[in-house]
Amino acid sequence: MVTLSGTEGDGELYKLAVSGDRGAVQELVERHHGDLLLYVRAKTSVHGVVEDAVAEAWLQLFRHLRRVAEDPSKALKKPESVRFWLYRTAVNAMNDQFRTSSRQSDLADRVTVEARARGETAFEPDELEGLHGQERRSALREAFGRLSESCRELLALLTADPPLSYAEIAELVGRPVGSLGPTRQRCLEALRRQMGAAT
Amino acid sequence: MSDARWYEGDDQLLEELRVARGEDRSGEDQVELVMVGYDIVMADTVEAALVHDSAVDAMAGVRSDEAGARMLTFAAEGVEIEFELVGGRIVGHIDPPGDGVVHLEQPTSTGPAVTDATPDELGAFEFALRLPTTFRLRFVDGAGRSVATGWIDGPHETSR
Repeated sequence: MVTLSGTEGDGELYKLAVSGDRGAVQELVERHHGDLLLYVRAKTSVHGVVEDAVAEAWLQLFRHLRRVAEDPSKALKKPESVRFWLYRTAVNAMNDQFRTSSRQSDLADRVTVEARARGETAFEPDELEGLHGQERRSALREAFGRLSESCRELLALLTADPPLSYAEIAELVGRPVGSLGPTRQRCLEALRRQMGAAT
Repeated sequence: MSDARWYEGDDQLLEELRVARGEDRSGEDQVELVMVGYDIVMADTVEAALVHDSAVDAMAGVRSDEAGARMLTFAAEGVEIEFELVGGRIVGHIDPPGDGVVHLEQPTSTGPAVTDATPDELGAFEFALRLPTTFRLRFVDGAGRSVATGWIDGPHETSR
């Protein structure tokens, strides 16, 4: 097993993982598991679905690694895009769960978001300016939760650490790259509104 | 970033959101759990089929040869794992005998606990089963081929 320095890019880790390096796989999990949960949670708040979808994405990656070990021609064409692959796989797993567990889950999701939106009080502009640190970030998270799913998804991808590329984001959200800038602006405006800044 | 009007610039707002969402990040404690999935997928294990279980036969009214012991046989292509559960022990043999190691695997909250036994020249092996939990046996032969039994509930002997 190679000793990792922690500075390896995802592409390097993927190649090491393909060669059977368990440490490289664990580094990928440590690096991306938290953001994957945050991303899927931005798309749905249905209890249990988020964790299951992310767990399924990892299992599919592991099965993929095993297949590639036997047949290298099945490897990702762009090893550095393994994170994008995980995000897409997690979303597909989430959609599969909704497909098999009826439309009620979708409805439950909307009800949760709606209930949360009604229960919260937006901040007045003056109050907003005076918010500090923890308080401000807590208000931001609450406002984020009241955005539409498409805005939550886009902003989740833009705030992943590090952010995904615009090309990868465009493919995940199913919009042309050129529309991302204006959508980003519109979603941030909506976020301000939810914070009460634009009222 | 100044506190005043921190939310007006798109980049500042996005950066603040990134930090805020980062505080909500979780799952550090799930890394080991995810890696258990990796270990299972990578084990490249052939599942042996259950071909005999004295507990099932007992329910069907078939008499057991040895009262108090539960006997099981699992078979995969070219190898059989036969064992009995008796008095908190697993006593069994691999057929045909050959080089290899038998792993006793028991899931725990921190990952699978594994105990090893090397079969003798006749293929015989033995484990003391300390915990009354689910377990399976996995035989890895000299060539690295791995054959596992299904998961078996508890070391409880079949009493009739």
